[in-house]
Amino acid sequence: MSDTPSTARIPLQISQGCIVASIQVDLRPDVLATFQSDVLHLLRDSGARALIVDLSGVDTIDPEEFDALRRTSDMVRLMGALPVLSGLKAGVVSSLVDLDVNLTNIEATRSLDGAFALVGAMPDTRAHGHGRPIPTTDFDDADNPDTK
Amino acid sequence: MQGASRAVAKQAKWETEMAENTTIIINDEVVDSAELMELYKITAEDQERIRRLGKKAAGHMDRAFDEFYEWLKEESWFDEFFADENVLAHVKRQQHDYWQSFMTADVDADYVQRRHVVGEVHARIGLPLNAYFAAMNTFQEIFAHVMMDVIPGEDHAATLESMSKLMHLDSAIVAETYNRAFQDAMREQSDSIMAMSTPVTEIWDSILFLPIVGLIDSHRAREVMDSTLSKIADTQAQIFILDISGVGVVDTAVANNLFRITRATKLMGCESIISGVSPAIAQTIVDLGIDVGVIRTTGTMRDALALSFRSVGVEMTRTR
Repeated sequence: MSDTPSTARIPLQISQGCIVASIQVDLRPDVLATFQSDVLHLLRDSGARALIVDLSGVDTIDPEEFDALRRTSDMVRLMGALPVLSGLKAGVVSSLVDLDVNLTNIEATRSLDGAFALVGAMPDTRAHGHGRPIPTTDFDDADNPDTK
Repeated sequence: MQGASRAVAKQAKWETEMAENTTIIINDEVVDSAELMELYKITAEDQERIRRLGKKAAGHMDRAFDEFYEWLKEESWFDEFFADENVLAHVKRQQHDYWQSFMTADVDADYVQRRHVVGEVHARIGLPLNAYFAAMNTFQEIFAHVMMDVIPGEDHAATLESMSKLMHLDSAIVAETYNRAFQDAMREQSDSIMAMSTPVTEIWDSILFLPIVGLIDSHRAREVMDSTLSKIADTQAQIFILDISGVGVVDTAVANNLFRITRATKLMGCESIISGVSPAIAQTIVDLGIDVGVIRTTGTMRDALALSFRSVGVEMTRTR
């Protein structure tokens, strides 16, 4: 457990019109809260069509952490994009099932490639292809009045 | 001739009725002056004391008014409301009449009506209610001074008490009128906002669009639903886009109102899309645990439009 005063951020990048989040750090509550707001604002500003959360580097997820991810996914869906969990490890999945965590209504794939394929197979409902530029990652632009 | 004499008799009868009448209808409400007297515990003795004061103080009234206007000049609202000399002269005359009628202590329909008018005038010119109360308070103080000279001894306190009862009655009528004027203004405003706030537009064949700005309470949700449903019936629309980017706060009630609208449109064969879901609104909806169900939501109006075009089979291409 690191004691850095500033919240560690989960890096977000945009690839093929999707936000890709690669989880490399402990999913502490403050990390998850920052992640949630970063994702939603980037989603609004970029017009990305999906959020892919790469969990291949995560060995354990407790029910609270998973629930936070799930709620972020729900918000992403509300904003019209598709949330996908990718690379969940077998041990993580079995412990989640053992703990009776709600796993319905979640899109998941084994690999990043699978996630992109899934997003590609879904009809593109976002209008990003019609001239809206996808900006480079800029988390702090939270209160841009143009898009509010 | 006979008809005319009957009319005159009728008029006379009406006048006597009016003179004896204790009730008056103000803003569709019956106000009974006798009830008011009872409410403020004004007895015949009180009336008698006030009348006696009226007679004895008659010669001192000018002094009292002078004192009052000395006070008024120092107040902040004097310049705003009474700076004009004509206005001031008019106000002084009115005030003179007012206190004369006060000193008769004849609380009847006419008396109540005149206080009501005082309140209406004050509310219309926008004089703050606390200015009115401060003025009444000052008058009471001044009269207490005057009374020292004309009604000494034990009667002094009793008369003062009688006076303050009647002044409370007067103030209550005025305050009620203020309140009423304020409520009327509020209602007018909300009605006009309501009227211009549900412009359901057909932006494309089979696609309806409604932007919502401000607050959605259950009353407004009903207006929205009514105008949307009748528009759907008129246009045979297949898609209804409800844009909520102008909605500041979404709570459980607001969300439920929105979802009720979308469920209703579905029954008419029209799919709803809620667009303009901002990060904040998305967070609130999920944090409140509101079940969105199968309703399609998008972050921007533009996405909703793209989705609708696809859904009704319209393809847009640039020609240049």
